[in-house]
Amino acid sequence: MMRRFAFAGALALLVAGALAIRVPNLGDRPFHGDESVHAAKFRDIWERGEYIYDPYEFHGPTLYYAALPVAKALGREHWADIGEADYRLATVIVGTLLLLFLALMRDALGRRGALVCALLLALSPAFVYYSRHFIQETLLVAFTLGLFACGWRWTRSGRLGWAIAAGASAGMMVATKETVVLTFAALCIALAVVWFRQRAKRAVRPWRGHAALAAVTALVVAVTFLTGFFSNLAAPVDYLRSYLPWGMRAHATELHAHPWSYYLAMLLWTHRAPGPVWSEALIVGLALAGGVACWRGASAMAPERAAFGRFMAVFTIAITAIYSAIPYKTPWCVLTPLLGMVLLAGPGALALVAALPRRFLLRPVAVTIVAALTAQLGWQAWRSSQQYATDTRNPYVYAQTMADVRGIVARVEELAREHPDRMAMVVKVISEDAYYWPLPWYLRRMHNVGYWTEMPETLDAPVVIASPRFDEALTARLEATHLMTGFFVLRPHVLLQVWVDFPLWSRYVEKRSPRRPVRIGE
Amino acid sequence: MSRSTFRASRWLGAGLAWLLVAPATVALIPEPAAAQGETVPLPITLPRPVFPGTPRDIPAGTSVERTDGRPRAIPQVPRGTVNLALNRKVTSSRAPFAFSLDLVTDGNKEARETTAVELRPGLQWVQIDLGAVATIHYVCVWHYHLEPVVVRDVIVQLSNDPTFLDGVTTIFNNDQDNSAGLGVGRDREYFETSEGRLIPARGVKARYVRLYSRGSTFKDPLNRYTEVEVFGQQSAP
Repeated sequence: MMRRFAFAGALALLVAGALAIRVPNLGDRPFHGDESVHAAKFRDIWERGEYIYDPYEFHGPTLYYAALPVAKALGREHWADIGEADYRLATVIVGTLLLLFLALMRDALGRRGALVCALLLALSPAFVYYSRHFIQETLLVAFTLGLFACGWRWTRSGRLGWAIAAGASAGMMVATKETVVLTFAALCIALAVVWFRQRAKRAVRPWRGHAALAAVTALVVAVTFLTGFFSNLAAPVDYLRSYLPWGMRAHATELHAHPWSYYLAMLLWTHRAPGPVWSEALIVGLALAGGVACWRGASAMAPERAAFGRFMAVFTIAITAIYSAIPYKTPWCVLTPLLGMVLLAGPGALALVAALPRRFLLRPVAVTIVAALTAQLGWQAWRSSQQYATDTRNPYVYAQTMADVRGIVARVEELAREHPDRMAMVVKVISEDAYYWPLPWYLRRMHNVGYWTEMPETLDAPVVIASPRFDEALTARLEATHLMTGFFVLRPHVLLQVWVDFPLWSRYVEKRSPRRPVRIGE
Repeated sequence: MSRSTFRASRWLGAGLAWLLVAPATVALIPEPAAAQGETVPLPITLPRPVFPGTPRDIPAGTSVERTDGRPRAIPQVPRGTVNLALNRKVTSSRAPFAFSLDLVTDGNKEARETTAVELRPGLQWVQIDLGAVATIHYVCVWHYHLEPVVVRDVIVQLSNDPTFLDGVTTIFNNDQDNSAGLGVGRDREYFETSEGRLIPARGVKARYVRLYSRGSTFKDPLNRYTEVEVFGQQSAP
C-alpha cells in the first residue's frame, strides 16, 4: 500500500513539474503559421458551434474541442479576445496529463520504470517545446499513450471496459490527425511480431468479441468528432478522401522534404554555432538499453513486462523507420517515435543499473550520472521553450514566426486609429505565395483586410503590406502617394514591407512623436 | 578685261571676302542656347569596392531600397562642374570621437578604418563650407562602405546660413518617423557601397552643405563619414 501511495505521490509531483516547465511565458512566442490557421479554424466552433472537416488541410477537430472548454473557462467572450497563451493552454494541459496514463502501465514498465518514463516525458525538450504549440501532435501522442495504456490493462485483465477505452483512444487518434495510419501500421507490425513470438508459449484468449467492440467504439468516437457531433455527415468520406492529397504531399512536395536521418539527427545531436548543443541522446541511449534488455528477456524482468518491452521496441523501430522513409517531414512528428523511445527508456534505465555489479559503488554512480543527464535534459527543455523559442539554432524551431509580426500589427492598428474608418480601414496584403500566415490571425481585429498572391489591379488602400518581390512594381505605382515605412520579418528570410498613404503616415508620426526640441550632438 | 571676266573676278573676290569675314562674324554672335547648356558626364571617381554587390538579407526595421546590382548611371552635368568640397573646411555638431573632420573632404574615399571620421552616437551632423555661394548639382556621400551597412536618418540640407535656420533646402531625407525633427522624410534608406549616395541638388545656390545621420546597422552606434563631394559651379562674384 505504501509503495502504491509513494508511486502516486511521485507521479503527482512529476505532473506538477511537467506543468511548471510548460506554462511560463506561454504567450511570448508568436504564433507559428500552423497554430494560427488552427486558431482561425477554431472560430467556426467558437462562434457557431460548427465544424466542417477539410480533407486538404487542418487535420481533425480534437484540438479545437480541447481548446473550447479552456477558452470558456478563461472567460473569453469574443473570438478575437482569445490570445496565443489561451490556445496553447489546451495542449499544455493535454501534454501534462498524458503522464497519468503511465500509472496504468506501472506493471508493464515497473513502478520505477514508469516514474523514469514520466520524468523523461516531463523534461524531454521536444515534448515540452511542442506541448506549447497549438497543433495536433501532442494530442495524437496523448491518445496513442492512452491506447497503449488501456490496451495493456485489457491484456492484463481481459475486461471489456478497457477494450472500449482503448477503442475510444484509437477513435480520438483518428479524429486528431491523418498520420494515425502510420501509428496503426507500426502497431500492427509490433503486434504481429510479439504474437508470433508468444504464440508457442501461451494460449490465446478469445479476444475477438472485445476487439470488435473496441473497433466499433473507435469508429463511433471518430465519426462523432469528425462530423462535428453529426452536423456534417460527409466528413467520414472526406476523411478517407484526405489521404489522396496527404499522400501526394508526402512524396511530391519539396517544401518539407528532408533526408531520412532528419528525426534521428535532431534527437541525437544538433549544434548550430555559436549556439548550444541540443541532444536527447540520453533517451535514445536508454531506449536502446531497454530494447536490448526486453528482447533478451532479462532475468530480472517479469515475462509480461519483457513482452511489452519487445512490443514497444518493434513499434518504436517501425514508427521511426516509417516516418524516416517519408520525404515530407515536420519536426513535431518526432513525438510519436520519441514516445516509443521514452517507454523503452524507463525500463532501460533500470536494466542498465541492474546490469552493473554491486561493487565499487557502480550503481549509485550510474544513477547519479543518469540523474545529472536528465537534469541537463530539463535545462535544454527550459532553454528551448524560453530563451531559444524562436531561435533557428534550436532544432525544434521550424518556420517560426518572428516577433516582428507583432510590430506589423501594432503599426497597422495604430494607423487605423488615425484613419477615419478606424478598424474598417482597408489593408491590402500582397504576398508572393500563400504562406502569409499568421498575419490574418494577427490582423483579426481589422475588418477590411484583403489578401493577394499577385499584384491587384487597384491599390487604393491606405495601407499595403507586400513581399519584397513587389517592391519595384509598388514603387512605380505608389511612390507619389505612399511611403514605404519599413521591412518587417515574418519568418527567417521572409520579409514584408509596409506602405502607408503619406498624409496618414504624417498624422501617425505627429501623433506618436509630437514636435519636440531637436537634440543634436548629445 | 572682258565683261564676263570682270564679273567672274568680282564674284570670286566677294567669296574670298566672305571666307575671311565669316569666322569673325560667327565669333561675335552670342552663343546659342544649346551650346550654353552643354553637358558632360559628372566628374566623379569611385573608390575600390571591398564587397561585391549588395547583401541579400535586408535588415528588418529599415526601409532599404532594392538595387539591381548594376553600376549606377553617370548623370550629365553642365560643363565646368567640379567637386567644390575638396579640402574645404568641415565642422560638426560635436567634436569627433575619433580621427579628424578633414577626412570628410580630403579626397580619400577608400574603404579603410582610417579614412572615415567617427562621430559619437545619436543624431550628429557634419557641415562643409564651400567658401562662397555655388550652384550645386549633386552631393555624393560615402558614410562607411567597408561593410554594406544602412545609415539611419540621413538628411542632407543646403543653405547660405551657416546656422541652417534660414533658407534651408532639404535635398535628401530618409528620416521617415521624423525622429530628427526636421520633417518626415520621403526618401528610402539604402546600403552603403563604394558608389556612395549621389543626391541631385537641381542647381540650388548655397554655400553650406549639412549632412545629418543617426548611427547605422553597423556593430557599433557611431556615425561615420568617409567622404563628401559637392559637385557644382562657383557662382560669379
